[in-house]
Amino acid sequence: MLGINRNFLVTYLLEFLIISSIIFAFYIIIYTEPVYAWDIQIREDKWTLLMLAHAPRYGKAQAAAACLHEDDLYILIGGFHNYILDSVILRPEDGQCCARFQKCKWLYEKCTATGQERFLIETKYDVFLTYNVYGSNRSTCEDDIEYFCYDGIWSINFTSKYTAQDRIEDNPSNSWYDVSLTVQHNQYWAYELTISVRIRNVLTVGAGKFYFKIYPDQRLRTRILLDLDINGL
Amino acid sequence: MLKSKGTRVLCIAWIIFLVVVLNVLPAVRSMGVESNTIYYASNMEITIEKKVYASSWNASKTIEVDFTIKDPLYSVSVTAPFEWEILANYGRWQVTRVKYMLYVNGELSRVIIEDLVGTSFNAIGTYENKPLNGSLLKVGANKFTLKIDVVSTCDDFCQSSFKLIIRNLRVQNHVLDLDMDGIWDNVDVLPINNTIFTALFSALSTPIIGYLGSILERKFRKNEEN
Repeated sequence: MLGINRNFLVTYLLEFLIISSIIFAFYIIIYTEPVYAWDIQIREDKWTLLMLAHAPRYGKAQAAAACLHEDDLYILIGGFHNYILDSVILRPEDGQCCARFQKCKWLYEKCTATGQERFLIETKYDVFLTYNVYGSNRSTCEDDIEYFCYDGIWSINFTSKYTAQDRIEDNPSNSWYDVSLTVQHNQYWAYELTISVRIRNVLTVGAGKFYFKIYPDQRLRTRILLDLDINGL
Repeated sequence: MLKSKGTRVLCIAWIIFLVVVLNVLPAVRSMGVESNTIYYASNMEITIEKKVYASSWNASKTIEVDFTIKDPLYSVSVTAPFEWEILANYGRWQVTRVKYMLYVNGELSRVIIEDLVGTSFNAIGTYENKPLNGSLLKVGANKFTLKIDVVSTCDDFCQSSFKLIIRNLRVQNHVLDLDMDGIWDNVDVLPINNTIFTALFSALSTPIIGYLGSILERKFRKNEEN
């Protein structure tokens, strides 16, 4: 057969198949995601909380959020390149509570065959809202439970509440407050956010914990970091 | 696997040739290319300030930046980042809308809306650095315009103090690397990832080289026998 012997065919074609398989397997492992038949899709615009800064009475607070984007995977030269896309700092004072939202289109998808479901932000609009949450009462923030509608769009439900007196003079031991954010779409939880801040009996303190669980769109590959500092006076 | 010495040498030479032509040479060439060109606005700090006693007020400002694109449009991404700072204190609950309109060569490319609802704000930040609309760009001289409109309303007359500072407005011209092979697109001869392409081409050509090697070897043997 064209002067090609059997050994040649076995050796080289097998070699070609093995190398090609390895390359394609490598590609598939990196780039392929499980595909579900998302037969239920619900979209909804929501004011999505980006950050929330709450100053103690007679004190100052600073909250910063930065959105990091993971991009530029170089196979031959270099490695991962991460760079900051956007960042915002809010600096409320004297009992004020300030929240910042972004208008996002949320997508809920469900595969009825497998029961698999997910929430993700499909579109992030260039529309932002900075909102004074505290209302008229700056002494305590227990009235800051909010679920508001602005410009015809509802916010995602969030709660801001002091659990102890925030005045250091009134409470020499540690005082703290929780900020929690939840998203509810019908009966399903979308993401959760918990921030615990400890205010110690010293002039400057910064201790915060931040847990952010989001079901990200693979296309966006966005990770949100948040840092919170409290300066009690 | 490769029994013949001639075939082995041919295969290695072929792979080295591919790596050099498809990876090393373009990579070396891309090292000399400037990947990021920045054009700054003439004023590094632009301020919009308003102190009024009124129920509603507005203010606006326009900033222009001239920039040049030398490379083909498919190989570049142009962004226009800037930093902003808002300091506002109102006597009453007020709604303020800051509208940033980004124009490229006189055509609207992007609108960013920042609403402030309340009485007191102290915020600083930057917006997501999205590329400008590529269809509005052209090779050669271009003009970027940032138009800022501020409108504020309140249900009654009150004292308002508002300050918006725009810093470091610049137009950045990035050269792209769409196939993510470490070689800038304006010097990349292959639109497909060079490294993967080299590996695939090496694997594909191995049996061909082997076949050629076996023919050559047979000819050499025949010559030796004769």
